[in-house]
Amino acid sequence: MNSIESRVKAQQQRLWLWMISTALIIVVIAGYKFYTHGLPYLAEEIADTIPASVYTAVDESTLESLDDSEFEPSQLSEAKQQELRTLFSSLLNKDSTSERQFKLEFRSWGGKANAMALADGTIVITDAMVNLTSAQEELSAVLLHELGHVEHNHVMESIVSSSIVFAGLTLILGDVSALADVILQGAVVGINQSYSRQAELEADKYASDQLVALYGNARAMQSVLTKLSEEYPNEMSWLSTHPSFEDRIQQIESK
Amino acid sequence: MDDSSLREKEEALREAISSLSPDARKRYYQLEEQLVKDPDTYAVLNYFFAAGLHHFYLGKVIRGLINAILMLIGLITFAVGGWVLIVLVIVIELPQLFKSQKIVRKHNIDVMEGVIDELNREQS
Repeated sequence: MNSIESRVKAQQQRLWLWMISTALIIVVIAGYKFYTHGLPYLAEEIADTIPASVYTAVDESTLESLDDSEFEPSQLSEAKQQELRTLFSSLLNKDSTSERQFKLEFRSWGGKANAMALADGTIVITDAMVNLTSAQEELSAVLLHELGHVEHNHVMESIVSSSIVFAGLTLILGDVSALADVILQGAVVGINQSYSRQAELEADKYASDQLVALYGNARAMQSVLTKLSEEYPNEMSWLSTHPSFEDRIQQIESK
Repeated sequence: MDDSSLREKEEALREAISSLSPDARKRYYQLEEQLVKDPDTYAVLNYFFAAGLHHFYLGKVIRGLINAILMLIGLITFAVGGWVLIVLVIVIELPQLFKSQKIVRKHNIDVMEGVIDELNREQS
């Protein structure tokens, strides 16, 4: 090959190498920064501007859907339910300016000990979770953890961040292939997991702080997590939306 | 450089091509195919993160590197004032998007003039 031609070819290859490597570095760093800083910031800002009526609608439809597919009516006595509702009311932050409609719901979920917070302040606690706790402090710890999710607006922020990723990736990848669908679902699941783990720790911190204010210590939080870890020893894995019970206990102890 | 002087240079380039030997002219057109840049590609690379890819596209590696490094520093330190650097880079780089036709046209003329010079040197 002639000298000019070979030089031009090598030069063009070098330029494409520069372009591709620079583009990759920029995309990876910009993506990481957006994922760790931009997305949480946007989710928080957008979630705060969503009208209260949307929160109520999300709660109603979520609970309706769970009632149809997963939950069964609670077997707890009316007196027990009333006692827990009184405890729940006493735990609500009186100084909070939150617009949420706090209420406590009881359900049975195939014997699973669990509690969950919905976007508008509806807390669902299962019969097995109530039975697992042996003291009022432990029940307070469970309820305060869920109230922490509501106070930090985790549910709506999670919905918003998933929607941003979904809309963004649909714009980039289009709605054309199975591969795009897999990437899309994977990204949303990944973000949910990472977000949930962080949210769990934040809710634990909220509950611990409130427990210290109410009872002078946060031991009830540790004891309820210990009971859960004994009840579900193989529950946690890297695919879980929650950090392991051991990690959570460690986080509380370190405070 | 205004439009009329670019046209004059293009005319001079056409004359220089026609004065090449048939063999050199054939080589010129083959090289032109590889070296001539597209203004639309330049424009797209310009607004892709304003990361300097458009400079690399025109072979300006040092300027591309400076642009990319400034953008990276801006991204990494975004929360502690790095966004100012990003805005600055965008303010400097983005106007080239609107001059992409002229910039690439001038680049193509300069590069192909260089090719003709080299082919002439080889001929003589």
